[in-house]
Amino acid sequence: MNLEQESAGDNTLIHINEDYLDASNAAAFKNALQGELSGKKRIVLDLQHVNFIDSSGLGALISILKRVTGDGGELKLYGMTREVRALFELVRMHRIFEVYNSRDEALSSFRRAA
Amino acid sequence: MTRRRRTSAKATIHHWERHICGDLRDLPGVRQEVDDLLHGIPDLHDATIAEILLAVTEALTNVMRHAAHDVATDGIHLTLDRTPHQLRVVLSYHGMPFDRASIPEPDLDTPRERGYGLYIIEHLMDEVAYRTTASGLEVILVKMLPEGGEK
Repeated sequence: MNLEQESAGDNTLIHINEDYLDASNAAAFKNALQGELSGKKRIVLDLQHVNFIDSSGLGALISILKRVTGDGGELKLYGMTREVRALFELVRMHRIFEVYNSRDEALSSFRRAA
Repeated sequence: MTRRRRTSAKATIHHWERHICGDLRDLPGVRQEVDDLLHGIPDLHDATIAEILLAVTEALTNVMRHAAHDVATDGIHLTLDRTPHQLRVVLSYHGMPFDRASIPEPDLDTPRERGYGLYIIEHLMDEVAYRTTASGLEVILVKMLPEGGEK
């Protein structure tokens, strides 16, 4: 699982360098991401390299969201492809996740909230 | 962007089939094959291709996960047929009969880690059927191909 972590002040960006998140890799993705996020509270996931997500990949993201928010943290997404955005809208998860168009927008949303 | 008229090639029926094993690790490779095939269909919108790929992936995943051991041993036969007006995808397999009525609709206001697959399939495809035949089980997905659409 190719995840790349970057610190931006108090925030943690995770670049998901995978072409797809589906039933073949969703469990591995969830486990790897949970390891990356240990102790982190302000998290941004970069999805711009992910060209395909199915319900299994979406389920992994929902699991991560629940864990982060359950621990008092925040999770934001940016860089969705048109196809991934369409999936989120189909199952209305764009209302559950905080979705931004760019990295800067996602990071500045933390500052606005602070 | 080049705008093309719908070509007469679409009037010809095309058929593709493949036998795949019931292993989730095969999903990306099968999806790539179907993607390549769909991109060979004249004037099929990229958004439509994405919808079909997602629906086929969800259907294959459901069969691999829920149709019990027969799929692991016998695999799944996947066929695509294109007529002038529709694309028809059929997954044929042996396993546990599927009772669609027993699966509830997901509550989209309450996020859950599972339970969206059938909802996605049935909202992206124009017709979806689950059949028991003399030779096994089938999931049938149909996408109507719009007249005059341009890529």
